Amino acid sequence: MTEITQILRRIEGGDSAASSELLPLVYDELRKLAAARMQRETPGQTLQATALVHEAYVRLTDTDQAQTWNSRGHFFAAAAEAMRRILVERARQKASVKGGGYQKRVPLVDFEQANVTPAIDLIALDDALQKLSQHDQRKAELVKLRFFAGLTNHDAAKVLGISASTADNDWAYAKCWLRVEMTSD
Amino acid sequence: MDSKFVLEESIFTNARRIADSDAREHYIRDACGADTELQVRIRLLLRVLVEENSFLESPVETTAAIDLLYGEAEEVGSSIGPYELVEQIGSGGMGLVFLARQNSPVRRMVALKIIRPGMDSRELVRQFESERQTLAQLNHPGITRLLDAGTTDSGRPWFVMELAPGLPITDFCKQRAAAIPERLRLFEAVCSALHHAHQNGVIHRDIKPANVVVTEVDGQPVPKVIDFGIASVRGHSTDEKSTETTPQIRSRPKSIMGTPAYMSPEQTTLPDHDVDERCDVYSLGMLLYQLLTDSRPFPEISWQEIGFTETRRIIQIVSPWVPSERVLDRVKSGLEASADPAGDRPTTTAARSRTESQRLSSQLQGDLDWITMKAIEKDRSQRYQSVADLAADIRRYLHHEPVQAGPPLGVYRLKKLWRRKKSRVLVMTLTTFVLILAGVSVLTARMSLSQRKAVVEHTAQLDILRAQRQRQSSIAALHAGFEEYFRGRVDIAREKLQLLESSTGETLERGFAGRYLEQLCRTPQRVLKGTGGRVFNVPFSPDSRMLVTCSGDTRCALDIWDVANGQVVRSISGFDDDVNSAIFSHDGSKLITAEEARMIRVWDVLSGTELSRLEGFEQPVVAMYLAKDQRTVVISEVEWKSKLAVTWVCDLQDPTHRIQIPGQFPLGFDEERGIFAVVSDAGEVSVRNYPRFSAEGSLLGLQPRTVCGSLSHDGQLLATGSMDGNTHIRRLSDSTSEKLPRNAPVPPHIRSLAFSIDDKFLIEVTSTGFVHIWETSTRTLQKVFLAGIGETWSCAVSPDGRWLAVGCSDGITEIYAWSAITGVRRSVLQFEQTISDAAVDVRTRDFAVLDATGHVRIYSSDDDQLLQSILVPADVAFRNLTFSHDGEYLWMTDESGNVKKVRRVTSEIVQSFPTYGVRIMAPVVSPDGRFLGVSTFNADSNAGSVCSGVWDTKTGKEVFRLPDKLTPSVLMPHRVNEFLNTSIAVTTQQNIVSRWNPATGAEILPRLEDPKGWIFHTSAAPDGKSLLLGLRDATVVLWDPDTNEFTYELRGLRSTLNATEYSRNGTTLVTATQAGEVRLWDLPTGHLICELPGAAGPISDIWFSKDERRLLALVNKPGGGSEVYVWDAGESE
Repeated sequence: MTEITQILRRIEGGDSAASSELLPLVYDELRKLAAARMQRETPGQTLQATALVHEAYVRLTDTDQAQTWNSRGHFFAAAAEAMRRILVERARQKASVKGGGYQKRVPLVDFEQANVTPAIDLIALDDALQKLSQHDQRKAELVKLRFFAGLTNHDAAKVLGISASTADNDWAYAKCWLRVEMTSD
Repeated sequence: MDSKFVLEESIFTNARRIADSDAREHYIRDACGADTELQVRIRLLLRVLVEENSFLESPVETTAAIDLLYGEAEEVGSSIGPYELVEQIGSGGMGLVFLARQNSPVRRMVALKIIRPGMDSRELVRQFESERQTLAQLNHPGITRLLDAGTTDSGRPWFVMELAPGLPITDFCKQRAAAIPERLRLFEAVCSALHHAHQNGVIHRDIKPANVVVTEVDGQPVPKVIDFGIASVRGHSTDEKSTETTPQIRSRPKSIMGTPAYMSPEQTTLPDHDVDERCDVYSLGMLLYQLLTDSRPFPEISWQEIGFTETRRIIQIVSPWVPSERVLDRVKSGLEASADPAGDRPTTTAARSRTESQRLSSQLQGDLDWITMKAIEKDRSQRYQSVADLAADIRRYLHHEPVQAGPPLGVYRLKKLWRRKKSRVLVMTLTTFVLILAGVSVLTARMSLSQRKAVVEHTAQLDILRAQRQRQSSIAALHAGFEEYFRGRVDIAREKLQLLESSTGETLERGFAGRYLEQLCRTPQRVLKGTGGRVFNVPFSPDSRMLVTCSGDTRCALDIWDVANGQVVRSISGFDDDVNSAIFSHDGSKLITAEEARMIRVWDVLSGTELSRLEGFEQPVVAMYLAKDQRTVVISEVEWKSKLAVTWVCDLQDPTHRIQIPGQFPLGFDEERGIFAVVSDAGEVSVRNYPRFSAEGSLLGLQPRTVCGSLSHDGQLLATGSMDGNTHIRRLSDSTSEKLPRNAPVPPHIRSLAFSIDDKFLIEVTSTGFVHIWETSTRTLQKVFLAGIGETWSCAVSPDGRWLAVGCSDGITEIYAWSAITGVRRSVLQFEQTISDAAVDVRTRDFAVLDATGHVRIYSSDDDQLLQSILVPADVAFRNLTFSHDGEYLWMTDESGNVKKVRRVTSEIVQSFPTYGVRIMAPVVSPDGRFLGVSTFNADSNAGSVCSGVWDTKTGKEVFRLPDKLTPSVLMPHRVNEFLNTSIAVTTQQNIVSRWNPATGAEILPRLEDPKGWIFHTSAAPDGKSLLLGLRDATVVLWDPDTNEFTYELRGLRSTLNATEYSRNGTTLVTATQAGEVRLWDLPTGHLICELPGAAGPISDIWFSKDERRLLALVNKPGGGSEVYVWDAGESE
């Protein structure tokens, strides 16, 4: 049994301290994966968070053992958090070191992919997300799961243990709230 | 969770469910009460929901994130050399591009490209540097110049380019709403830049809109080609095989490097060094496509999602819609948007855009469609061969000169009219259908009637176009299958067939062509799995019932197989080394082996015991012939490394008696004719006399490294194959020789050669597993197949001619039924006397041939059996033969203008009348048999034809005579007359087609005058309305007299059209020409399906058998005499 599966078991068994062990493992794996994948990917292709997280899941868990939803839920929650940290921490670090802040960047040289969503200011998003979590932890988790871990509404609802329609309502409100929050300064 | 938050959320959630805006506003005011601040917030949130609906909807994309993960990226504000980075303006997979400021020696803004952090692997760095080198070679206003280059302290390379600020060319044109000529002039400038690159040996390989930006210089738009990121430098190496020495910059293997929509098919299959400038022609074509249509070539395909294999498949076989069709498609999207009940866009916009699109579409139709489609031909040999050619055609178009491009891919012009007619029918039925549905469909009910109509109309039109596209890609796949097959890539051809099967699901649709290809791709009859390694020789026993395999490597043995059941009859093992060859004694009781272990041995076949041996050779012993006396053997010992050979003539019963022929290697032996063909160590191929072995000055040619040969059974030809991968067929009588032409790359070595029993074919076994079957007389490749799973070593044809054996590696030997190999195309009937004419009974497909003596022979098209022989007494030579439409009578005409009608069952002449007293040419009988149209030929008259007229067959009287001006001048036996149906007779005079009522002699207008050239062939299309005309320049057009328009134009024939045939369902057209070429065309799409291996002489008639599994043709041999050829798709499986 892999280390991560053991941790997932312990969390299920009520060992709350185990959660804190999960994050660094997932975090490291995602970093490694992202780096490796980027070298392998064809230039011009983008890497979906979904792909990374799912790959990390397969690599880190003894999938036979960790198929139950509870384990997966914990894992994805950890992965979403790890992904958020990786991305946001780096963004912050760069912004602080260079002073000029994170410039609006042209997302891709391939203008053909016109449907690519414009790059999002990750730092502003994270600040807003922090505020949201103070009001409503569940909605903040939902945003992390969907945006940073790339889960569908359906899967994210399962992870959070809520119905799909609740998740849908939460999502609509949360993203509008965040958007307003991000532009209110 | 504070209460304010909860309240806000619940009001928001309720409000967003209210569709009606008034009701929604009412609810918000109600729910918020006096809290105006909350009202404002709710409205703000709802606006965000509508206007920024996509926010956060796609999961974060990590490309941007990767830079963060790596850190250390050059940052805005930092400096690289004298360049200060101002802004990041782009990032590709490999590099980052910054806007940078240069302060010294000159102050200017430049573009600086640096390899992406983390991407600095050796391979990518090399690629990056290659772009730098590439740019350095180029100096053209249309290409960004390289200004400077260097490497950072951490070793990452960078370079500085002239800044090309501006929009991608497509966006530029769209934004300016530039007219077509303006777009074309910009495009021409792009071509000129690429031409410069090509002349410097640089191929861009990633042309796409993003890589062609337009900057304004003095108010003039100037396009610039940027990003030579995956460009390659063409080598100037002369040795194609040597890959080490070419200065090639190779990209990563197996990944698709360019951008799929613009990438040429060959970039997905060929190694980089085989891709030439024509790939840029393709990409430019796609760019042109986008410039003309304002839409991407494959908007319906989401390249990111479909994966590598599917991407490759699409690139290879799917062509985008022709531009004029594509712009019509745009209308549909516009209409649907306006018909959406939620959208408030006025329909007038859609209507306007529709008329505009239709106007644009008609502007593109013809020349611009053709130019674009020619540039993006899948087969690069069909494209413009250079960017200069493409640019020249654009210039021609701009100057209103005729363009070089024709309708796409040996193709057609599907006239608007035809399409409109068809779609109108469909539109009507669909409209009715939708109106019925309207009662229950809210969506439909909310549309106005005109909206609905418009949607339906365009949907129907698009359905037709889509079906057309589907068919086009099927036909393209079939065509590609044939191409691949004749290039020797049988596995790919088979894949294409399977692809077709899965996409169309029916073999019927593929018709004869599909079945024929299937037949070509058939697998061997029997696979013998021996236990040894390489199979060096595969002799058949004299009675053809046994096959011996001589193997080496892991198990040096001799296995004797029963050909009938593929079982081992006897094995002789225990050889110390490879068994190089074996030969049966003439009675089949003994086997003689030539061995690597430097000896020859004689074995008893029944018992497997050794009878005797000859030893004392210095080198391994190979090739062997046995003379009729059953004791003289001709063998050769070869020193493998130096390939030096010594040939010996030995007496099996007297070891002391040996004649040495030094420095010669045997290639062929014919004891009866006294021929012994050899090649010297220096490569001189010659014939020696047997049994004296004297060289009688008969040097046949020089072919160094010749390793195998075969003498034809008639002793006329010697085929020789070399280690260089070439085979020559040499004629012994006059020492002429011809190298077999190669379409595909030259194979590494020729391993074995053999003539078929009838000498009509030469079997050539190459080292790479390919077996080629060549037709001896035409030197054309008839069939290619892949034997075994690795290398191939040997081949033999059984003495009874039924089997072909091919020895492979890993102990595998394959046996093919010879009929399955040659069954695909063969001459089934030969006539010593030239056949004057052939006719086909349209009902039974029986065919009749007529010779000058009046001898009519009727054969079955199913099996070439003679059904009937009729001898009609001839006063003068008979010229022409026609079946009546019911097949019961035969019409014959002779040199003196006499017409005879013969009842088939009784062979009796039932009618006979004279016409004009001179030779009748091009007679035609009306479908109901009432009228006969004839032209005459008078050798004494300079004009050729004296007169033409229509005769009543009942009375034997002339109905009317054509005016002189419209009388065909028939100097050659062209097909100039035809009946479209019983009431319309057609005649062709040079370049005029006129139609007549045969009963009254009244002309039916319009006449067709000057259809682009003289007409050599006239035949009615299956619809009985249009006429297929073969023109002198070898183009074929279909003329619709009702509209006086050409509905098709088929191009690409090499000589003039002689004969045509249609499949029963009317979708396949077969054309046969004076040069003997046979092509199949798909009529609904106008695409060429395939060119079949042709005939050796002019084809005067071509027809399908009743089940359409065979295609037959009458061929007149150049030296006199005639043949009937069959292309046989074989039995169904």
